[in-house]
Formats: sequence, structure tokens, C-alpha cells
Amino acid sequence: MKHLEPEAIELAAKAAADGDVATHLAACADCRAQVKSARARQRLLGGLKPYTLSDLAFRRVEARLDEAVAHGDVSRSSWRWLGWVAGAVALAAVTFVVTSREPQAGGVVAIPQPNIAVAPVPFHALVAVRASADAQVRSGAAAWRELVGGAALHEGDALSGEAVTLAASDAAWRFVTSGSLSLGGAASVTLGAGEVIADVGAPVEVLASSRRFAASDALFAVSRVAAEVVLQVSRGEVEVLDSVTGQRRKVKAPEAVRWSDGSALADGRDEPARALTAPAVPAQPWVPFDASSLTAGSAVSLDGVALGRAPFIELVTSGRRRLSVTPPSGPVRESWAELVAGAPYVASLESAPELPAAEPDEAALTRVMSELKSQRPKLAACYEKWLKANPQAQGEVVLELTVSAQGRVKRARLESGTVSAPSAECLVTTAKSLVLSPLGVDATLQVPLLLRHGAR
Amino acid sequence: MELSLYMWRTPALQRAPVTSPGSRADAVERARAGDVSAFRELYAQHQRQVARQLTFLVPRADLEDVLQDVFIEVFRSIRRFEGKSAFTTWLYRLTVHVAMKARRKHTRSRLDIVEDVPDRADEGPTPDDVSLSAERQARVEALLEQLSPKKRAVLVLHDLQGVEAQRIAELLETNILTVRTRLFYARKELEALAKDDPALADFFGGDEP
Repeated sequence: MKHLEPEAIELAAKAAADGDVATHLAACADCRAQVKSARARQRLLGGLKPYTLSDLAFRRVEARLDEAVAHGDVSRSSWRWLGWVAGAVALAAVTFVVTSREPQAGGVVAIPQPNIAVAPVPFHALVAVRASADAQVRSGAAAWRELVGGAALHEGDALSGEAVTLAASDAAWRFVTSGSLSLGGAASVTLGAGEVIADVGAPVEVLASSRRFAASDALFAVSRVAAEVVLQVSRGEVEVLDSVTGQRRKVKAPEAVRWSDGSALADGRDEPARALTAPAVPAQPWVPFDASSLTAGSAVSLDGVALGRAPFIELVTSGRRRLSVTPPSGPVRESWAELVAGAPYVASLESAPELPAAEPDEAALTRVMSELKSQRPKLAACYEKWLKANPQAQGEVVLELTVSAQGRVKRARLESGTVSAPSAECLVTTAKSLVLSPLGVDATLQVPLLLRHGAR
Repeated sequence: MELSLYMWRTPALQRAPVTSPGSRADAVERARAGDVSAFRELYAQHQRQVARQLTFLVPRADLEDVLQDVFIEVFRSIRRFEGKSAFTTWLYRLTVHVAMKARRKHTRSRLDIVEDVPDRADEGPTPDDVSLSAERQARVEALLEQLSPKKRAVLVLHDLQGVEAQRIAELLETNILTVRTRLFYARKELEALAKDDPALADFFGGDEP
């Protein structure tokens, strides 16, 4: 018996067969089985809901296209879209696009260019270290050495560490970054996903994770995720290190650079600093954080950044911070600390009750989760590195993100899981560089990641 | 929140004419001539259409990146568009090719972000429900990702996007026999994979219809 053609099988699965087809099906068990399978498959596929992309996602692609295309042999002026970093635009300061990467041959899409800006105001040299934690310092080409409280820093010294509080003669600096910072002279700032905040009379802020740079009264923006930026501050040179490709290059043609309002870079330089639009850099007044009341030896951290072991007094920035205290013997205690500018905060386990956390609404969380998924390839690059070292590598890990109300990933850490140390470090660094939609409130997100090698 | 984001659109972008067929043809011509603002108009006109066409051709998480890849490719190739077919036809073909190429880039490994570790799907709607639960949707998408790019493209284009076999052959620059063969094996493979999935096996179980 000749069986039904595939098209007839599909039609019979969609609607009740009649005529010759029905007659054939009544007599052919094989064809009935095929119709049954086709009907099941049609139900399975027919229930699928199409993908959706948020308006924000379309905007992100739009901005990336802008970056990728801007370097082509077409006029830049007709193709200057707004960048996709909300904060940078909202701050209405000096954003510009620099491109130097040629589109790759063979249809492979080049990684978009970062938006970079040059700090026109030199950083101040620092002279003394007030306190530090897990930090190192290097002079010239010498080896890195541990940075300790009371150490002197000189022009050109480079710092690298997690948390350092520095003091100049007339100012206090706080340096929190996974990158490094050099001071004075032909100074450079190399940032991974971290932040450098300094108070030298006028606000100075560099936030790599939000691609926002500020120095004195000028504000700068970088909208490239996972890029590192080197600002040759005093010379006005900019180098970009792409953390994905490892490619390092200097920014070309700074004269072509434009601020977000369309004015030239020189416009910003020529203007008196105070004539520039005041950057909306949030004030970061200091709070003396007194941990001397805690049990000696207790490990203290704020928002996941280790401050040290009690007793100590540390300058920290104000705000609602997550305080973790781990006594020498006992489980970690976590609470919210409301740090008020100018008011000393005395940490004690008894005075640190759990505070009710403001919760972001469900829609915002769903949107952010969707954005995280869409940026999965960036995290997957870390897994790829691990796979190169171990082709069988796979695992599960929970990534904990502390996200600001504005959508900046303030802290990232791996809560649990099984990944290699370099991969874990890469995941954390990459996660810190992500920019998400505003949640409205500070929130801590737990993102389970499954790392699996290819099915084939 | 997203509304406010749209409010940042540059005045030039807000003015972009995107509606009339005449303006679309004009945008294509201007893009071919190297007018980058025309390329921007093309993106505004076709972004959602391309996103729809990419549905299920690429993993959901890659949609944004592949959408970007498609328009980068449009930018690079627009000069080679000779107008022998409609621009949308040319764009569709390019979209499918970029999608297949993009998927190959992601076959080596996967990093998934999940709301929760997947477990058994004992609850939820029956197979007769019109739409799938979020979990079942994710599982079916995962099955599609396990198909080879060629089989997946044919299955998605034919069974999900309703494109006829002859047209698929033209899109993929192959012959209709190859398309039908790929479709046959893609369906068989999908069914086998679904039967192995506890959450989906009941679609193929039960009594004779």
C-alpha cells in the first residue's frame, strides 16, 4: 500500500480527513501514526509564543549600530544617535562617540566602539594613605607592594585594590575599583568594573560600571559594556582596552569628538569649568564608620566590599548600604545600614536590626531579568574562557547583583556554585559592567546561571 | 520607564519618515548611495519585522545581538542590493542567513540565565491548551536549539512562519527537495527530542486521535 504524502499527513493532522484520505487512514496504521505525530507536533509548535523585544532593547541595538556604523566611510554628522546609557544622557553633560575600529571583513560584526571622554582637569596628586584594604601600590616599573595606612604616595604612583581611603592635604579620596589608578603627572586611570570617587572640593567621580566619568565640573560618559578605559588625564589622551578581545588602542581624532549636546570637545575645554552644565553627580559625602564596638576581629563589609576587621574607623559614603559582620566565631550577620552624611555610624550587632527592604515592582524585575538574559553572551564569554582550559567544564552558579535604583550594578559576587576561579572573576567583572533598566529602588538580584557545554 | 526612554529620541529620529512605500523605496535608494541617515530610517522601518522573523531562528537570548548583526550586514551589503526583488525579500533572505550564521557561533557552549533551576513539569496546562506554559515554551525553544541550523531554519520557516517549501528553497539558495528532506528529518528529530523530555512527552502520548 502506498502511504500518504507528507503534505497530506500534515493536512489530515490539521483537520479531520475525508474522502480518499479518510478511507486510506482507516486502512493504514502507519499513516494514522504519522497523523497522530504530526498533530502532536503541530500542537507543540502552535502553542509557542513569539519572542518579544522591549523598546529599550531596540534602543540598545540602535545605539550599537550607531557606534558600529559611525566609523564607516559615511559622514558622522548624519549618524549621531544618542547613546544608550540612560544615565549619561540624563546627566546632560559631555558624551561623545569615538570610533577607531574598522568593520571586520567577512560579515562578522565588530564589537561596538565605546563612548569615551577625556578629562580636561588633571587629577590632584595624593600624599598620604589614611587606610586601605587589599590594596597594592607600584612606583614606575617596580613590583607591586602592599599599600598600608600611613604610606606616602607620589606623583605617578599606581594603585590597585578593592578599597582604599586616601587623604590629600586638603581632601579625602575613596578608591573602590577592580582596576587601578595612577596619580598625577601623566596620570592614568584604568578601570575595570569599579568606581573611583574622590572629594577634592569639586566632585570627581569615575564610574566604569555605568560608563560615567566626572572630573571637577566636567562629566564624561562611556557607553561600552565591559570595556576598560585609560584616561591619560594630564595629556588628554585616551586608550581603550577591550576586555573581550584584549585589544588596546588609542582614541583617534579627538577633535571629532562631540559632547552629547553636539558641541565640540574644545568647547568644553575652553569654557570656564564653572560655566559648564553642572553634572548631576550625586553627592557622596563621607560618613565615619565606627566598627570599634564590634567584637575584635569581626570582618566587616559594606555592599560586599570588605572594609577590614574590627576595631577600625573608616570613611565610607552615605546611603543605604548592606552591612555584613562576621564575628570570629559565629555566622555572618547581615543588615541594612542607613548611613547619613556627616553623622558617625557606630556599628554593633545589637543596633543593626534587619530593615525592611524596599522591593522593586514585578514588572521592573521582569524587565531587568529579560535584559540580563539578552546580555547573556557577555557572561558566556567568561564560560568560553573556562572551556578553553577545560573542554568538559560546566557548572551552576548563582550571581548576586546589587543594583542601584538607576540600574547600575553596584556590586556583583558569586554566591555559590562551581566554576573556576578565573571564570568566577570574569563573571563578576562582566556583571559589574552591565547596565540595566532603572528598578526604582536599590535591589539585590540573585541570578542563577547554568553553564553547559554544547549539546553536540 | 520605557516610554521615557523613547522620549530621548533625537529630533532627527523622531522626524524620520517611515510610513509610505515611496519613502521606503527612497530610503533604500539613499542608503545604497551611502546616506547613513537613510540606513537609520531603514532600521526604524524594519526593526520589528526583522525581530519577528528571527523568532525561533535564533535562541531568544541572542535575539538582540542577531538583530544588530542583521542591520550591520544590511549596512555592509546594501550597495549590492540591485532592486531585482523587493527590499523586504532581500532583507528576509539576509536575515535568515545571518540567523543561521549567528546560531553557529553559539553552538559550542551555552550559559543560561534561569529564574529557577528547571525541574519536573508535573503541573501546568494540559497539552490541549492553546498556549504553552513559560516552562514548556522554554523547553520547546531548547529543543529547537538542539537542531542543526539548517534543519532548524527549515522547520521554523515552514512550520512556524508558514513559508512554503519553494520559497524556503529560494531563501536558502537550495532546491526544494533538499528543503523537504531537511523538514522531514527536522520534524522527526524534534519529535524524538520532545518524547525524551518528561515535560513534553505527553504531547506525543495518549490514545490514537
